[in-house]
Amino acid sequence: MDLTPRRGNGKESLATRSPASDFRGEIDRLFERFFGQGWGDVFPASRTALTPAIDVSETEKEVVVKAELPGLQPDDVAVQIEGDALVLSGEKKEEFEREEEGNVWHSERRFGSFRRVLQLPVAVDAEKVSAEFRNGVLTVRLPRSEQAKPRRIQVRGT
Amino acid sequence: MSPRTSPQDVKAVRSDRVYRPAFDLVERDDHYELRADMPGARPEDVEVRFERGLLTVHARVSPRKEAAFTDEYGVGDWQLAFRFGETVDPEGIEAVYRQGVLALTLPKSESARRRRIDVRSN
Repeated sequence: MDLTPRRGNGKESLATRSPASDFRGEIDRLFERFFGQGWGDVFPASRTALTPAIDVSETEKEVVVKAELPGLQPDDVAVQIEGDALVLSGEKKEEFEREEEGNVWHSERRFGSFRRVLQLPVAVDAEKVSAEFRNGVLTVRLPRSEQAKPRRIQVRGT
Repeated sequence: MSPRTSPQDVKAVRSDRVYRPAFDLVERDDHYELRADMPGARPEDVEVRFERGLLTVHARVSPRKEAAFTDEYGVGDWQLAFRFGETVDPEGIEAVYRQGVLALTLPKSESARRRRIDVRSN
């Protein structure tokens, strides 16, 4: 078995690395090696087995939240606005059958339920939020509410 | 890491980052099943090749446009290389890409199939 450097949740790339993701990846692996199992098994009280990676970016018009959720169906994801937070939750099930037993050579993909609560950086118009799920990426667009739109203030001179 | 596991004729990647997807590989009696999480690629941009015993998967992903406020994941192409050697029969390989997951079924070549040997007692 010959594998290129692993990615892990910390996103190590083959070409470039970021120190922050390296560190996070290292700590995750340290825990996995020490306990012999992942976070979800060590802390069973935490309800989620999955921690999908999230991107939050903003433009003048809207906040865009993207989450990598490969293997989920649109019905498996719930997007909710609760006050000033966006809540993403759902469950990743193995969609392809595992009929009979077999030799597992490599098992890396995680399954299970997830829930992430994101504090939104600005106020948004909850009525106009839209969500699209394509190719395993969920994209939520949250238009800024009127008060939150940036305004230019006239600078007056005397 | 041996340089020979990289695809020889991969097209130049557009993003400056290439990632290896998380994957599962299971061996059954007469085939292998490989599942790889490769979100963000369009089905038409996923390329699967099998050449001289080497499976290569490459998927182009459009680079991120907006500057991210919080970014927990990088955006880049997906690439996976796996050496099966002569155990796989290239003719019957099937690939399905749905919801960001690539599922490959690779049938074993005749000689590699597991056979149950009957044990006689007479």
